[in-house]
Amino acid sequence: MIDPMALTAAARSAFRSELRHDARLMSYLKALKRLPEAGAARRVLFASSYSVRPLEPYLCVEAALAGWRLEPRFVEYGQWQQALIAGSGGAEPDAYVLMLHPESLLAAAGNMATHIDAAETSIAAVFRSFRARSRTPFFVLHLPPPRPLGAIGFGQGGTPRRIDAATELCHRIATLAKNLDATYVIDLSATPKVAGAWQDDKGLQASLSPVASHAAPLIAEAIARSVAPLFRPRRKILVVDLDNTLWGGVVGEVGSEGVSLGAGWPGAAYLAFQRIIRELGESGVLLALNSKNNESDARAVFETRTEMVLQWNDFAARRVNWCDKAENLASIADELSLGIESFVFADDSPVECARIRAAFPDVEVIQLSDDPTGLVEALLGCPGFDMLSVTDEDRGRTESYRSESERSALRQTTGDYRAFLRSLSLEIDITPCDGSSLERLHQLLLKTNQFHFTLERPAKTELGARANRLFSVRLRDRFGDYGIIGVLETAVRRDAVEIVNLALSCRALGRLVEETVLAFVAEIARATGVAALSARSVVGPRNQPALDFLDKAGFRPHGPVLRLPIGPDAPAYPAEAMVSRPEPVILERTC
Amino acid sequence: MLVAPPREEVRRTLVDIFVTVLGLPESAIRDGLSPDNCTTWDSLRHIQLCTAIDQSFGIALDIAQQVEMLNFGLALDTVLRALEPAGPRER
Repeated sequence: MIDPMALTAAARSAFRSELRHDARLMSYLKALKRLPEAGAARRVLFASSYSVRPLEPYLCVEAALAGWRLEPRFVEYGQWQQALIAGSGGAEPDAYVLMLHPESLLAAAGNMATHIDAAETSIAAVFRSFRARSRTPFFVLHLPPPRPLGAIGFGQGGTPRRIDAATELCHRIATLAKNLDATYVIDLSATPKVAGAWQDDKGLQASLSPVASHAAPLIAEAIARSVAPLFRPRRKILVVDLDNTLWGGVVGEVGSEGVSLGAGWPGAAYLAFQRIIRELGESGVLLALNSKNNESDARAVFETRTEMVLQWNDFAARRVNWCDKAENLASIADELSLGIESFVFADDSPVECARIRAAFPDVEVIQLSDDPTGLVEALLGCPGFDMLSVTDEDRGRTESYRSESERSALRQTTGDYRAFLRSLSLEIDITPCDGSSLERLHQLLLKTNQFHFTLERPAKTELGARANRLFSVRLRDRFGDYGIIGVLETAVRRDAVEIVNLALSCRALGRLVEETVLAFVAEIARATGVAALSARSVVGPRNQPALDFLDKAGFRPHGPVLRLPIGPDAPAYPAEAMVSRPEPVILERTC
Repeated sequence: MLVAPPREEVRRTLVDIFVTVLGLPESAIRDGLSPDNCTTWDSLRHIQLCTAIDQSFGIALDIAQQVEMLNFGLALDTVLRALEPAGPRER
């Protein structure tokens, strides 16, 4: 029995297994009753051209499995245009999901080409009006093209024009959505079990609900996972095993030449799995190895088997030894300064998976299938790596961690820490938030746990509304560009400049960024003519480094905030870094 | 040879469905329970009842059967009929 009050990654995984095994409506309704009501509910408004209310139990459960709590609101079907153009009354939701059934948007008969153009024009106008009114994230899902009838008796040339028209309209809706700001297409064609087999003609005719009951959980999962990255941080690292995971067989027994890799089954299945892992790496997920093997045996596969997609250096950390895998995982977290809750662990051994689940319930564990053809599906079934869009910082993350190794080597040869920092040629840029950086600043607030004053996880719309108070912090050194590694929010109060929030990526800590930001806020205070800084903070499970910094800088409790009077010894910019920041006249506009 | 499950077994499963979908205690499920005397039995819940019945019994109620399920007793009769093994077809 799952304890619904403790939805750890392990509990979610157990829930998921149950429901993937039995996806009937009754299972979802019963699961819904067992879900905890803890955590902030996210309001999502569902507008549709057909009846989607029957999806409600599936949506609520799938949201919980994807790590967030859904409070759905449904607009009556057929009212979707009005809801998007004029709002639906009440508070603005955290996200909109529009679900369209292209076939029903087309007139029943007549010239289909004209109908497609008319439908597209109408939808485009609604989208434009919506975006003029609201900046709330918007997800568009169109049911996939209907199944062609050619295969069941009309002959290949006999597909009715209406079905071709619906297919064409699907493409046009997706194109319209992709060209709209902060709008995301939920692509059901990526869910093979849905594509082509989702229709329920009886449901459509009886209750304007064209989605077959077996497809409902799959569509709900696609929606819940697509929206989830708005509300919870992405997992940062995938830790994988080697034997029967990256290749077939046990290298210690069959040698590097004996493991299965390459064309044909099962070698091709392992290569397919490696390609997916590589794509994850390219999207910013760090990769690490955790395998019980002799390191020399494992390295031999990487060095001699030219079929390998992944290379030894693609892994930011490697534990190929005979130690306990839980200990290895903890030491990888330590080495890379990552919280254990940002880990995903994939292994073919049920025993190792159970060991990790028991030791670290917050680690997402993927129990890989014995059948290598199931490897890719198992990894894609993990919602922890879902994301809305890939930023430049994501693409460069593995490179950034590699640069960190070079910095460590330099530090070992440079005894004095300040001298070490000087030798890095640090450049720190503080710039006001603009449209291009908001996505990254939002991501930082969602992902940062250690150096984060308030642990606030705002919706992107909330953050966008405060953009004029936000600054991005970027760091470069002689080894590379860290990208935007910090977000600062300030407000000028009556007698102090307040740090409303500050979050810095752990990769940048100890690089004088903290001191620089503090000096910057002190500069605002001087320009504004107030004699103190204040800061908001909350005590969380992992943000002690941020709280320690405030304490060390001299901030002390003062009512609901921490306060630091500034006098002659006010925080100053560190001499070891080159700092670029906006002119004070710009700063005053943020008050 | 296909044998229909006993009436009492079907009834137990159906009660579980009505309890879960309509959010009622088991004691509230009686033959006369209908949309007229049950506030949670609206059109959405009716669709959910039909889906759960189809999935739980492995049958596919047609639209006429769905519409005729005007109370719990009629739903039970409908399901029992749907579960009856098909007899020889009349010529």
